Amino acid sequence: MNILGISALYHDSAAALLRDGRIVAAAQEERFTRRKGDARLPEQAIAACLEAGGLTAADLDWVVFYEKPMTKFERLLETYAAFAPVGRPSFRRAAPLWARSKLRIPEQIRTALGDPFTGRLAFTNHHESHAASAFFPSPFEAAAVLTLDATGEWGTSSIAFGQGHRLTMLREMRFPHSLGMLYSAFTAYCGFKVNSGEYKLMGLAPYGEPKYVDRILDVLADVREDGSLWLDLSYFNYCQGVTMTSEKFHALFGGPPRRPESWITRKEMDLAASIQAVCEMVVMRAARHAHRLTGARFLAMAGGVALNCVANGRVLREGPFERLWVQPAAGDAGGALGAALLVWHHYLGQPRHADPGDSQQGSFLGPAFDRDEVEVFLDSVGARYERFSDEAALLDRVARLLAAGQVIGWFHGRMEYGPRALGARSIIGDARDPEMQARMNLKIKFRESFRPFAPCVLREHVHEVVEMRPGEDSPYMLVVAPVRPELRRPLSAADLERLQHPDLRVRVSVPRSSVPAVTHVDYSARVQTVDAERHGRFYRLMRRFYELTGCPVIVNTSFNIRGEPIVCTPEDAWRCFAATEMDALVLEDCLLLKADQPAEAVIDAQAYRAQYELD
Amino acid sequence: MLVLPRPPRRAWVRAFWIVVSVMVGGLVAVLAALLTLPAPLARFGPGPVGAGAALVVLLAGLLMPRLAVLGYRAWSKATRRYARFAGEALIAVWYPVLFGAVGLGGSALLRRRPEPGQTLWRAHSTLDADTYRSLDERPAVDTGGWLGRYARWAVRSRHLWALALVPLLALLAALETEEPEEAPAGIYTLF
Repeated sequence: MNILGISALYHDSAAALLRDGRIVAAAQEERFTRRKGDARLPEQAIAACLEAGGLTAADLDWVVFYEKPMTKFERLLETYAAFAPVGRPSFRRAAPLWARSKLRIPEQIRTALGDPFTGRLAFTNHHESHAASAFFPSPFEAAAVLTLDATGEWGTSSIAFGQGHRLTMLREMRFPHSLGMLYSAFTAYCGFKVNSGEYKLMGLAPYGEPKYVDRILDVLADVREDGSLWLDLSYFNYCQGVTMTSEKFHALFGGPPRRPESWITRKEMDLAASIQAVCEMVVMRAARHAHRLTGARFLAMAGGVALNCVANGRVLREGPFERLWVQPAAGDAGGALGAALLVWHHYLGQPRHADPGDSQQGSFLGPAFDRDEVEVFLDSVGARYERFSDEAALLDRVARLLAAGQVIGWFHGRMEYGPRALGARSIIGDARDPEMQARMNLKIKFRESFRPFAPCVLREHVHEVVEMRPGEDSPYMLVVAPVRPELRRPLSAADLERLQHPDLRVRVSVPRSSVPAVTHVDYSARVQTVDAERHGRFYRLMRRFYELTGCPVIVNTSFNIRGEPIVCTPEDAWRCFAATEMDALVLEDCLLLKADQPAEAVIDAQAYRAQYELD
Repeated sequence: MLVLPRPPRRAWVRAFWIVVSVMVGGLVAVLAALLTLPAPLARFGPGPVGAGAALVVLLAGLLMPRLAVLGYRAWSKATRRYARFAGEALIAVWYPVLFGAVGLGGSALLRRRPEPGQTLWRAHSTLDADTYRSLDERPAVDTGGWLGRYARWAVRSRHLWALALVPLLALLAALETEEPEEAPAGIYTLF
């Protein structure tokens, strides 16, 4: 039985393929089209999934779309009716889109799959898809499930209980009252892009003081004890307009929104800290409510807000649940997987056996490229490389380059599904190097330098680096934990002065621990644990680095520049390598050193950056 | 309304010019039938006169490709302007009348602050499997074209008034001048 899940036509479209309930492949369309957050029907991702499964469209029994388009349309009409006669500009944009595309999803899917597809089409509910993506691949036989995002059809958050192969929805919060919308309103107000800038706002929060929390709770959002919330819509514009916030919102916070790319002031830092505090409060209360409703020991989460790893870390440390599992593709892309799983378990009633690790396979579910393909490509562009037939020799060489402070592009195995690079398409470096963060940010990622990088930590050493239990798993980089006190560095008077500097680049350059490149100003770190079972060669590389240096941590950031989707193919990786100041590139068994490359191989960084819209 | 793709490609320009030639020929033929033609032309009759005019226009475009490109661009610009204006005008009339009237009947949106202590979580149950073949949350098997599905949804969901939107949606789709954006940048759209 082959089931294809699709999420599309909102943002970040994706496809996922199940065969007899096992995840065969999953990928986001943006990785193929090289258009960040590409929302179009994921034709290339579908093709990649089918290829990975050795299938054609004729072999598909079911194709499942991750939400109910007509229910969403119903919500849209009800919203316009509620605000009419205001709302015309929004309707002007929405109506043709629906008329030409979104009311014709079945036709579009059948066209994309072609005549051979004779299977059945199904449509699941948005939050059920999220909940399914959180529970079914999780390691839990039974768990509470909490989904939090901006909005689906009507739902903006949900609580469910998963047991075996059944998912029982229990509660739902409805549009327009939404934690995701609230967070995104502040994201937009602080001058970041909605749908991608939320991560920046979270990264900005530790620089500020949560001095606006009372104002948010008194005026904007009425947060109830059970984590439900009501928003005063007069401060927002997303129902009837084409912006997130209204003039009343701007007046409340003393001025218009920050212009994108302009100087970040104390006000934005404080707003970020405040909305982050409110977000954590809501998530904690909702998690406790889910616990009261279900009595479950474990919690699974999904939805865009579940990518807020700071809030997740608090749930894990303080919440009532013993364990937490978050779907790595927690945003809408993950809906493709959830939709397919719903049909398999719910509609078809197929049993489920929880894998003690999980069944997400490390989220390495995208395309892979073998040694021959890599070499054919490298030869075609005249790249100079060294090929290693002995993996140990390759890893020893790469570990020594890392220890020497080199920044390395690492490309191995199947591409990640979800927004994080987890060791298949990563840029890696030595976390001990105090210059590493600034160097990676400015010369390789070309992005704001206030954001810390994530540490990859050998799982067996995680408790030595951050305040997590020995051997505790965080393989998807979705939990933030405090760096252990003994690794923290005492601050001098000069350091303290620099930490007050208005330029965040100065602040972030103050080393906070013995692994400064991955320690945020509040001594937190967004941890990814690396283990032998899930990560294979990447784990063995880290082991070798540990043997050489005694350090079980490296820096891991996504293999891309700002605004660019994470690389997918060897060609994407080569181009990114050639356009940035990366020192070396590992493409499967081939090692390329920047210094060895012919002059004509260098790509102009400006031209390369110009291809991608800033996120 | 025919909105031509941009930028012009040779094949599109040729196709456009052939259509223009045929239309000019047709127009001339109609005029020839309605008006009294000068003596030298009157003996041919309206049909041949129209065909001749079409041939002249066609040859002009083939011999002077720039003329055809200019015509293509002028048509493209004019239709885009017209489409934008017509779209705005349609919505300016339709939107407040239809949605305003429906809105008077109340809304499914909760806008008033609930009483203290009241939760905003609603009881919610899992969708029945027999809704999976439907594009909304009611049991059905949605087949057929979009119009039929739309009409069935409007009946099932008791949004009969939404049927009044069909002509507007069809007109707006026809008037759309560019590939529609998935979502405007910078907001979480409702759509």
